[in-house]
Amino acid sequence: MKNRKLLTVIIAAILCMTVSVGIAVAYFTDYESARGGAVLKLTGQTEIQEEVKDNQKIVKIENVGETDMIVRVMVYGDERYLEVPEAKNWKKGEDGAYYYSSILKPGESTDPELLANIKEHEPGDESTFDVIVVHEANRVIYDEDQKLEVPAGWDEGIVKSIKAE
Amino acid sequence: MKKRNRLSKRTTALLVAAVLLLAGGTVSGTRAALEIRSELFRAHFYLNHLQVHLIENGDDVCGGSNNLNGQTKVTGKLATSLGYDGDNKLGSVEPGKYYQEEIAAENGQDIDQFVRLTVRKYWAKTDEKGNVIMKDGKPEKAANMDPSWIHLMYDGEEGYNTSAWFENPDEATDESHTYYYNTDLDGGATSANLFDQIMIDKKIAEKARTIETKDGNKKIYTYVYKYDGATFFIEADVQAIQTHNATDAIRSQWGVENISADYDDPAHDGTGSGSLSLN
Repeated sequence: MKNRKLLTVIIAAILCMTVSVGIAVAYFTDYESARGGAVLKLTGQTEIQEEVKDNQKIVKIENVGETDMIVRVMVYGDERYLEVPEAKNWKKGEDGAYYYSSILKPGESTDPELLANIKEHEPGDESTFDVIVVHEANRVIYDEDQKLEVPAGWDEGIVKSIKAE
Repeated sequence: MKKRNRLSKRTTALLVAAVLLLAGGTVSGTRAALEIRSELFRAHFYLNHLQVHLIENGDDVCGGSNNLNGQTKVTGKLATSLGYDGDNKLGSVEPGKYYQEEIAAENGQDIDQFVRLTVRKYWAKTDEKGNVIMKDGKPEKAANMDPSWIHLMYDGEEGYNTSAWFENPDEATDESHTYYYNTDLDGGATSANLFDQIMIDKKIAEKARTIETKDGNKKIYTYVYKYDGATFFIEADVQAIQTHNATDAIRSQWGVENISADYDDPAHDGTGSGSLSLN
């Protein structure tokens, strides 16, 4: 009785498997699958380094974050005695700020430094003043034309002239 | 007196009925096989197997599979142009910037095949350290971020290459789309690109707040972006199917009812010509 039941089950299983195999091999197919991604590092970080030497204030900006940045620097002081010359990679905008003309990549510093020169006082003038340096950095964002997007209040002409990568 | 071990009449009848039903199913299968054993079936004899490759920026990202009947899944690494570098080190992208991302299919054999590509895009959850949270071997999806911020593009515009591929709307969701190649893919040939660029919407950088800190006599203002560290993924599956009886094959293997195939192979050697269309 036991053997007969077992035999019945085995026959049924074989019949079922035979039917299934017939369906499984019906058509030829193949596939490949892949996955990849990237992370968005949006918050940038820059640091300013200032050094005073021989009536000169030397300003350098370093990108210590993980995103590409654009940089500008404003220098305030007594305009009679303060001179900030344009230099290679530093352009003065219509707003009076000095723009670094390249994208500052992570780990890079502005090259050359921006120099604020303090001129000799006129004879008899013993006034003093502070040289205040403000630096701003914005992360790089691209517009539809793959040009750099201009942050609010920044010189559009200079920002658009920075070579996008 | 020894008791005879016999089945009741009812049990016997049920057993016989079960055997007949199963035998009937088998006979039906056998009959189907006999019907296929026609001239068309002999043509199938040449189709010893199909092979398809997923191509990204000209390279086979899966390293080449050689699968009979799709039994083996090979997972490759996509988005190499975005700086993908291993499972945990992901490259960074800039919002709004166009990156090269050419996706295509390649026929790895010398007989024709029909192909389709399914592309999924989504944002993944990350932990406090910014590592992607994995679940069952896959990145866990972040439901609060919009997949439409991930733009797949062709020829400088949002969308796919409509001259060579068509999308099946029945298989489309917000994060997954399936595209069919208009014609059969000849043996050894590479399809036209489905996409060629990828871009992350700059809207993602709009939400930010300012934090003020002091360092000696310096004041530091920092923009902190809401979606800083967000991670996105692209998944692509390329699938190939035989050209003969392709409409039935697509229905059976891919479960798609609204795609029709037309294929003419006068030489019966798998090098004919054909097309797919949406019903």
